[in-house]
Amino acid sequence: MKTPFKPIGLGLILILVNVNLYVDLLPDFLGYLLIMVGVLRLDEPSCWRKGAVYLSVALAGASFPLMFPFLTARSGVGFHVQLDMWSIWSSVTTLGSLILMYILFQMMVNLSVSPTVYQKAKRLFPIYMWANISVFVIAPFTINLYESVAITLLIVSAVVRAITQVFMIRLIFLYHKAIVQEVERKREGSL
Amino acid sequence: MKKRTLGIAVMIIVMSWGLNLIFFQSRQLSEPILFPTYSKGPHDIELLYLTNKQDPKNIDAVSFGENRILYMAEQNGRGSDNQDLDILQKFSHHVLAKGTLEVGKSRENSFSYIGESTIHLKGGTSFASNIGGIVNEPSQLRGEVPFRVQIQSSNSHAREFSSVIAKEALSINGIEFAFPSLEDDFRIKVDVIPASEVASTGEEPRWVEAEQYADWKEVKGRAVHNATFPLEVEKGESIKWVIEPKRPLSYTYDFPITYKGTKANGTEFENAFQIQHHRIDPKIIAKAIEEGTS
Repeated sequence: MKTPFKPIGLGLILILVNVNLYVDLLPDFLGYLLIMVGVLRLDEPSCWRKGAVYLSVALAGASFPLMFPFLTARSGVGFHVQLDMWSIWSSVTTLGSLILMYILFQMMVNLSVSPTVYQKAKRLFPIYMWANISVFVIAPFTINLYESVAITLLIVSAVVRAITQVFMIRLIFLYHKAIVQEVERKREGSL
Repeated sequence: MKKRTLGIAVMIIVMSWGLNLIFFQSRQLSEPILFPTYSKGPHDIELLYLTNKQDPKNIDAVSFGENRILYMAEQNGRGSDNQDLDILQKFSHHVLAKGTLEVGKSRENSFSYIGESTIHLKGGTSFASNIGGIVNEPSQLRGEVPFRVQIQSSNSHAREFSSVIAKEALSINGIEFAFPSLEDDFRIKVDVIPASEVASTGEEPRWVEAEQYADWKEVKGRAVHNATFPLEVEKGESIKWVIEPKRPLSYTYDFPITYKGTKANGTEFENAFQIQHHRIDPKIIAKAIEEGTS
């Protein structure tokens, strides 16, 4: 069954996981295109849908070059945030993806699905947004800090982002399940 | 979360990046900072320099005047990429790196050079910097040395100890710095230890441990100045030299201090002890960074 949330969930997995062998075998741009496909399937007439489609297309284009890991290869001495053009480009696309997640949350809480899933979305929305905003605000400080402090901050940030992303993916699949169950219930009712 | 709140959050993120980038740029050095070195002897020359952490520069060679150039040793990054920098210390925006200038090929042609030199960086750029003083020549001590070395050591605070035992009666008439202009930067104490108190060969003299980190006032001996000489020494007695910088120095050094004397039969001799320190005080480094980025 074609539901909007399956491609969105798969897209988020592609964005979260990187398998770098000369090229990223799970490229982010494919993830954004899958999100776009999912959003187009959503029966949501609001401006959020339009915004999500445009933004996911833009992010797919912007993240296409980032499938080549050599562009953001580390330079300089030690571990620190890179400041070359492609690394900044990568940070900008990640900021774009945060805005995309905000739009997805807005669309999800507007959808009428089971109250349990809706409550979960309502709860996760602010936690996800504030956790990621904090990570984005803190990240640039690492370029001006001593390596040991910067490494700790970067590790904590990466863990926070990964955890929130995993919860987001789980929520998306809960929506998928809820929609499938609702459709099956309707089908059984009509029979 | 409201749309407006997100907008403010994005603005804060952009501001955080912008302000951090501006501060980062203000901390970048336009070129490495080379700490001068004063080196005398037929040995390679160790150079310490500060370079940016994000875009580190390797020193490739140093040219002295118009027709002499010394290259860095291969293991210190010459011909390789920046990751091979020999890093001694990391700071928030900079690293203190070490390089060794190879003088091996120049040994046949002794030379000395003091002052401004041209530092060539990997990639082709160069800049002028005070190299300190380089004297590359083999030891030229006169006469047979009437001593046997008892100890030559140093501690981490650049305090150097040298002790020799006289093989015969002699007098020491004075000392000479390889770089006379540096004389005021150091303090020296000398002491003659009676033969009865001299430790046997191979044993560390008792005073070494006691004076290793002791306050300068507690280091036994007379401060060296002109009135100290001539210093009469009997056979079997030991001459102890203790030397250290008066304050943290902004240069590294590796050069001999020569003392001249006369044996009982009237013949003259020279002996020397090498003092060396290849570290720079953190406060001096911090000051250099401030000056380099202001």
